[in-house]
Amino acid sequence: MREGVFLVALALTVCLVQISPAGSAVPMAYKPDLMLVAVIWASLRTRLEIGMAFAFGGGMLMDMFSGSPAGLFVVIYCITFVVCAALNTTLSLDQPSVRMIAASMAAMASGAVILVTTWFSGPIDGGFLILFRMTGKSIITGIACLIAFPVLDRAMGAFSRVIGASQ
Amino acid sequence: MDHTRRDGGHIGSEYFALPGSRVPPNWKGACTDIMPRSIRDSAIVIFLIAGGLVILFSSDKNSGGNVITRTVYGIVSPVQRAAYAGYRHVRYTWDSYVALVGVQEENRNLKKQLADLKRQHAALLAEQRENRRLRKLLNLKAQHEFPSVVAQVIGEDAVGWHRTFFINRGSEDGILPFMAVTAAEGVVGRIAKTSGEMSQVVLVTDPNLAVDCRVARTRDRGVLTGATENKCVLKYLQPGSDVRPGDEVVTSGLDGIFPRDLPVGRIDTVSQDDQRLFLQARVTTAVNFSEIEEVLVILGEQGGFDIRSGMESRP
Repeated sequence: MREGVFLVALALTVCLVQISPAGSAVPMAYKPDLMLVAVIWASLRTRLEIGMAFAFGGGMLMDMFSGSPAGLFVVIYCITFVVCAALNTTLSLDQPSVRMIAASMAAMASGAVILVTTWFSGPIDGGFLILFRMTGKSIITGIACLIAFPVLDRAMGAFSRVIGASQ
Repeated sequence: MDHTRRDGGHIGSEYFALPGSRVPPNWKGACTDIMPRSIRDSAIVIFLIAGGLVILFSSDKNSGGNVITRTVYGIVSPVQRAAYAGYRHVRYTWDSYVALVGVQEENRNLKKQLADLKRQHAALLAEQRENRRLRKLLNLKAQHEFPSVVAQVIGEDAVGWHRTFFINRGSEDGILPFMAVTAAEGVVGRIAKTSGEMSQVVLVTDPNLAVDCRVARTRDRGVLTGATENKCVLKYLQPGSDVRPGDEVVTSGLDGIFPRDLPVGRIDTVSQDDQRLFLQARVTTAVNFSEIEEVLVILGEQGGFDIRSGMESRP
């Protein structure tokens, strides 16, 4: 329950950071997907049911605050959560370099899905530039993952100390 | 206080006495035997005044100073130099150390004042720019025949994969989905979602938005869709149309969302589409979306510029 409260607060905070112009220290096209990073973090740190709920809620928020069709980010984040949680049982994702690669790959995959769905509404002109931007955005998301994980860990630790353990 | 001396006389009476005053009989002053006290005092006064007059009228103005003057100077000079050196030393110490405390404080105050002034200056510049932008919007609003609402951009697309932003006006201000959003420079996009006090705007550069447009010079029609940042593609132009780079693209007014003849952008290049059935043109938008801060939402339904099929626009 308390873990859930933390994740709700986290989802709202990430959403606010993402939509505020202050969050765009990098150009909009290369803006890191911080909610994706939070979902990956949740996949390594929280229980499945709570983490999935977080991925679902976070996806809903992103759908609301981006131009994507409703439900797209819900699907992307839920799949990301499941894949990361599954991979974590075989590969240790909880190492900085692996986390960075995982976040970059997830961002690349989500970008590809969004590109395909956008393609359905009409051919997209852009070619190599779109691929370049997707790659750049994915790398930046991976770098953001490196910074965000320790921050989130500390925030969760502080929250646990103040509110109490989740068990 | 007793001013009576032991011998009966008054203290100080040996130095000065008014003419006609009585000298005590037991006083033993040196002059009393020679002249009366009053005469002696008068003589001193006259002697000194006369001496001053003599010196005044007898001194040579061009002389470098007489012996007395030089002697006095010689005596005074070392003392005066020493005093002046001391004064300089004290002054230097004061200026260098003691007064610096005040200077430091003054410096701090001046820096603070400078920072305040800089802040004020920046605020004034920002207000000036805002004023200019709002004036442009006001002019645009005056040009339109339909009601509109000025809104501020308060956020951008959450993930950045799409081209959307948020404005601080919503359904409480009469804003509904599909209403046109413009700026002083031209078309911005249309409303996608609304809440009470906030709306999401899809930009013309987003591939999900299509706008019915015309080339202003030739009046050829096409459909404008988003391509990349600040770029759009005008599709389905007739193969024989005389569209050239530099031509202005405006809204046609046929989609029922945008009023006609709102500027959209300028054509960069013209080419054939993949199927070689139509021409298509790359268009640079008139609005720079990275700099946009205020927009004008055209309240279409209230304004009644609703375009029925077959009608391009109302007169």
